[in-house]
Amino acid sequence: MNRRSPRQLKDQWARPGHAGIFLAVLCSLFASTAQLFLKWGTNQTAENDLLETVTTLPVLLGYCFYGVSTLLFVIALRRGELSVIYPILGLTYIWVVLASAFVFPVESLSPLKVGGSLLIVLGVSLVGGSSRR
Amino acid sequence: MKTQAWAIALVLSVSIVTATAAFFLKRGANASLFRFSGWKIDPRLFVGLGLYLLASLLYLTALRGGDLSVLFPLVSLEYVWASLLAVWQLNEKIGRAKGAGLAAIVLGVAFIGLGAR
Repeated sequence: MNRRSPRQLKDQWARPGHAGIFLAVLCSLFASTAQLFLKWGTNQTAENDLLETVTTLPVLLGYCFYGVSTLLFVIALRRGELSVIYPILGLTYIWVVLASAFVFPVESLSPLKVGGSLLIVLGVSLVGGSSRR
Repeated sequence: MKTQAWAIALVLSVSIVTATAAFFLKRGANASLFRFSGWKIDPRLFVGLGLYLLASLLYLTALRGGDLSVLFPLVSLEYVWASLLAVWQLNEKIGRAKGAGLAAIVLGVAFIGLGAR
């Protein structure tokens, strides 16, 4: 028989899963916000001055968000399996493609873009999520 | 703005540089020691970090030439280059699931590229 003691059941409930998933979703949101900031920054500086671009506020903010998302990724990995966390991070591609169309008027959604990013999410999930070997 | 061909080419090179950076980090990490008794930092770790820095500057330049919704997804090709490097140089194996994943990424990137026209 495969009955579990209350203690084991409790342990199962206490498994990190939920916290890890929440942190991973948060991480993907921060990573995509970082991308939007970077793009916003490069839109502001039209000239070919890389130094100026790197030091504009949106770009610096973008890198900060990127740093936070990396931190969240590490914390998420402590709370859950890589094979669970990694596919969730793929959501970043969806957020970026959807948000770009709303935030930047010149960008648009198309079936090819949405389909392509869904395929990339699937691919990244399989590459990062299929065991550690 | 229509996404420019040079921006797409630049982002593709970004994906190659980041994959190479990851490869150097892996090589460097394997050759380094992180212990209280003694530190040994392999210089390849710094090469890896430097390549990441270079990649982020190239990426910022590329972002000027097109849509974020086209250019950002293209960076995912780095997984393909990194896997090829891992098989070729580190003798790692790619299973069926990973192979399918890499194919899906290539197909997705092709879709996005076509959608950029």
